[in-house]
Amino acid sequence: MLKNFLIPISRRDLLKLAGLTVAGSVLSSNNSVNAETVAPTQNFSINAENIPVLLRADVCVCGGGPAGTAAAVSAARNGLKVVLIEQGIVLGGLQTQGLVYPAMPTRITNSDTPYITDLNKRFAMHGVQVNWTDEPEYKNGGRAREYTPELLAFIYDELCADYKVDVLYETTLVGANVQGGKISEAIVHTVEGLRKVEAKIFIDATGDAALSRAAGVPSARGSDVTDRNQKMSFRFEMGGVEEMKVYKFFVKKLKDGWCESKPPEFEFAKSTNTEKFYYEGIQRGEVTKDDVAYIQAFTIVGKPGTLSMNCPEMSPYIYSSTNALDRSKAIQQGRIMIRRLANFFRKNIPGFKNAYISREASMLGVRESWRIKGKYCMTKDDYFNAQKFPDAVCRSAYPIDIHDESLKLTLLGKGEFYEVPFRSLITNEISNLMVAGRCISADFPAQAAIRIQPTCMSMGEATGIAAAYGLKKNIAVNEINWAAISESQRSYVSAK
Amino acid sequence: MLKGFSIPISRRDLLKLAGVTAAGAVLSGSINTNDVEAAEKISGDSIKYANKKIPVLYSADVCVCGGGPAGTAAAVNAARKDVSVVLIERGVALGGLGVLGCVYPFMDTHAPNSDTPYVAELKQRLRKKGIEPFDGVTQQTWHNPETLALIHDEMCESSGVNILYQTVVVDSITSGGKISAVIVQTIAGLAAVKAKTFIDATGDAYLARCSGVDYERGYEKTGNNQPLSFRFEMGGIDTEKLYNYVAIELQEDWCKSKLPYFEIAEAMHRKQRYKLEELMARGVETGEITQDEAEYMQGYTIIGKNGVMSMNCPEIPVKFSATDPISYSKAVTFGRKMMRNIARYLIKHLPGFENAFISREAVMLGARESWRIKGKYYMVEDDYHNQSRFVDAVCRTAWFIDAHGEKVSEKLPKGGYYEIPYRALISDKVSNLIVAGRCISASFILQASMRIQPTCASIGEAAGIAAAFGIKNHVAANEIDWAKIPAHQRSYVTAG
Ligand SMILES: Cc1cc2nc3c(=O)[nH]c(=O)nc-3n(C[C@H](O)[C@H](O)[C@H](O)COP(=O)(O)OP(=O)(O)OC[C@H]3O[C@@H](n4cnc5c(N)ncnc54)[C@H](O)[C@@H]3O)c2cc1C
Ligand SMILES: Cc1cc2nc3c(=O)[nH]c(=O)nc-3n(C[C@H](O)[C@H](O)[C@H](O)COP(=O)(O)OP(=O)(O)OC[C@H]3O[C@@H](n4cnc5c(N)ncnc54)[C@H](O)[C@@H]3O)c2cc1C
Repeated sequence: MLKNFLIPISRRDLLKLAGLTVAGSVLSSNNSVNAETVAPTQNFSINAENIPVLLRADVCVCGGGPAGTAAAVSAARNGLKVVLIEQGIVLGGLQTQGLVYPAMPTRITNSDTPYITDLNKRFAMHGVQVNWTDEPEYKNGGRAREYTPELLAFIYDELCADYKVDVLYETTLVGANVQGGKISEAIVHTVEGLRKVEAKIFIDATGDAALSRAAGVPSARGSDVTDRNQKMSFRFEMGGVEEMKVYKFFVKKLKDGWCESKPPEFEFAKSTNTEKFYYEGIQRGEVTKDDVAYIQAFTIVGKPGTLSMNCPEMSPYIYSSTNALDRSKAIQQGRIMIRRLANFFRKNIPGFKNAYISREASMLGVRESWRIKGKYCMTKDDYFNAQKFPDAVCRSAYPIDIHDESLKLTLLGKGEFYEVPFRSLITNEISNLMVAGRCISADFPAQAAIRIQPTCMSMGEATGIAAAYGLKKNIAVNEINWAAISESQRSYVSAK
Repeated sequence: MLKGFSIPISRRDLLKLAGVTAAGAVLSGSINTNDVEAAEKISGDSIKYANKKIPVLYSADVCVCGGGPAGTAAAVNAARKDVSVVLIERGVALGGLGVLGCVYPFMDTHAPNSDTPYVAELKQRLRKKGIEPFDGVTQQTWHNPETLALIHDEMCESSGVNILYQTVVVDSITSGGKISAVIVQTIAGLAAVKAKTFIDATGDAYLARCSGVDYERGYEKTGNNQPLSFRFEMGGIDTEKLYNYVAIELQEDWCKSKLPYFEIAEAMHRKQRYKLEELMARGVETGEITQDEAEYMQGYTIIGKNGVMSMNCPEIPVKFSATDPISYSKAVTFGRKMMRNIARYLIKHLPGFENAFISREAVMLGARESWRIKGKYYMVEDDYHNQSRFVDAVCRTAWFIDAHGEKVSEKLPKGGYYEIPYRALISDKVSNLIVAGRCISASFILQASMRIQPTCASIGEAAGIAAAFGIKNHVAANEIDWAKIPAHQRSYVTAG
């Protein structure tokens, strides 16, 4: 049997682990442990005593999106044994399963943390020119982005293999066992049944704060003002597109100035000059108002003739990203909208005549769902004040980008940027938990700025470093002062 | 706020629920889950699981677990008999391996008149959407995975099936040989679905295994499961050029049909010698691909996706297991590497593939066989050779025994076929459970014949009809005599 990464834990390690647990429980003031016996339940049951342990590690990262993958690789690079739990069979989260393409730039120089620089290099090794992030002068359409979601998936696997991250694919986190303010184990669903993963430190990168919520960390969702979550999208790709014809149609015929570059790097979107084009489609009954509420399409340079469609968006009044039934219905509705859009494009855009849907996302496009309430909650004031923090883990100038009824972007002044503090990644409640990615502690508008892929990656990277530091210094991760870690070890040092 | 099915929870209920959560956290051995969120959406019904209250999402007549060819057929057919149905699927599309796994096309059953009404309807619906499934020669069903996904949604919608997407079945509550509820992980946390009758169409017999039904896995002689494949699609192929090279220049006559219905194949483990074997063998000599990568290569054009082929490879070595979560995860990474190599090699050496690229990876690993139940009737290899007939037959098939690497049988004589009895879908152990699809009660060798999609769909169809019949006539699902259901209500009546 091929179980080479199941390293049996020694009795000594087990005791050490147990020791840490006790120490953890002392640190935390809430949750007293009350021993009471539990009635035995079914074979597969979640009853903790009966569930076999699948793996033990220093760090267990839940969710393999841009944040989680960065966290896992970074922790492993810093010498830790890492398990990465992912419900799909590909890393990258929305980047790969959600077909979110391309990564948006931070719009500020020097935002690339080492992980991102390294990723750029990896792409180069595959003969592909990519500039992931720190483009200060953002232009619609053009910049180095020759990658495909499939290549990214491959590179993520390579990274995990190189740094010996144990990836557990098709494994879903379903619960956590919390004792004394510490997570002792994650409960996961595998093809075999329910299993436990034990670790000293847990990182929640599920995008939905699934682990944090399971562990009793308070969370918020949606806007304080409207009570709505951001809009969800069901993205898809179309193949067989003649890109030059599409370019000519939008730029030459409709005089659309939206895109500042030509194929192979081209995008089109619903903009002032093209609004009429979509409006007429509604009039003719070919599409609905909701179908064309937001339209955007990017060429995928590594897939000639293929466009990544950043649409349709499902109405935020009907479908909430934090309601399980809504999400199911949104998928069905989205699939119908995808068809109508594809037909509309085929009929009305030269260059789409022979186009077809080449793939649909395998994960719904959730921009925002639950956000934890951590030690520090980033706010929109932090954005507008271009706030810096001594414990900053990254910087960005990406605007507050809320997709709701309407879309409004307010840009920061040229050269201005904000930072994300480490304290937004940790909680008061759980001493051995860090959170990375789009579900960190931020208010609704601030999350709408920090949610882009490079920023999520940099956060993940920082949690990996903090995990190693915490274990080495015997400091609970929610007590770590990022600013106290030596500069050479930090992935980012505040500009403050 | 417009939220169709969300019933607002009162503050008091919320506190009560929160209280339960807190209490749960205190019990040692109990698991925290984020059920408070989910509870808001619910009717107020809840059940106790792992020492805490979790919300009941639905109470239905029939609950189908897994939305592959079998599960979708079961759900639609039960709903059409006027019982309420919930279909639980962990992905965001129905069709199982056929849609999520890039498995294409439906194989030919090789049995005359094997199409049950549901299978015939699927073909008709494809036709209506401009996808002609008939290649003019064979009985394979050529389709389009994205169109198939849409058709499945439409059939569920029109028959009133409630689909729960992105929801994983993790456990069941079973007592006295009866399942009262399945436990599911939703995006919002753990929840339950109650039903009178359950259908396990997970392909992995997951529900049956967690409810106490006997099962087996793999080949009794080797202990191995059938090999896993990681299928993918390639776009940008000049199919005309490919056809000219393979069919005309190499004079390969394997594919009986003409473009746009074209197939290339090569399988070193079979008796048949294919012309493309040489090409792949050369790659092994030059070191461009490995022997494992060269063993099996197959590609089919996809109707409605010009220049795209569905690749039935790479086939992952059998040392990777479909029933071991760790090994299975390793297979994903290993398979992705094989996929890259094969694609790179074909792009370089196979005429027509010069500008090709990977356009889509499966989002579900291709497990041909994992766990199979031991039901009231256990089908064996002799049933194939003897062309067994059963009074309670639910369908017929004659697809050859295709146990990759272990055994490949001769085809049955022309016009020959065997039948599948309803008793292979039920067990003595659980009264209200029917199993459908590739995990029914059959030996490893027989399963290698009955597992093809049209047969799985016909089995599902019968399961759905039987479930509805049992509920209406108050007969336990495992006591139903299929032969006693009026012939006009049955999807298949034995030929005797
Ligand atoms: C429609 C849309 C368009 C966008 N456009 C852009 C853009 O153009 N550029 C840009 O940079 N950003 C864009 N974003 C934002 C960006 O893609 C996301 O914010 C970012 O991917 C978040 O990363 P993450 O790692 O936090 O979470 P995710 O990418 O959501 O990854 C979470 C991962 O966790 C896994 N997971 C979740 N729950 C569980 C569980 N219980 N068990 C196991 N695994 C689990 C998921 O399968 C997934 O792999 C867009 C987002 C959307 C929705
Ligand atoms: C590589 C490969 C090639 C094949 N080639 C062909 C071919 O050319 N033609 C052909 O006809 N057949 C082919 N087959 C066989 C055929 O595809 C399968 O046997 C068939 O799809 C089985 O149908 P099913 O409904 O039983 O299961 P599946 O198709 O496996 O569907 C099971 C469904 O259940 C869901 N599920 C599983 N567990 C859970 C859970 N715990 N909670 C919620 N949902 C769950 C899955 O997501 C999936 O949607 C091939 C199979 C493989 C692997």
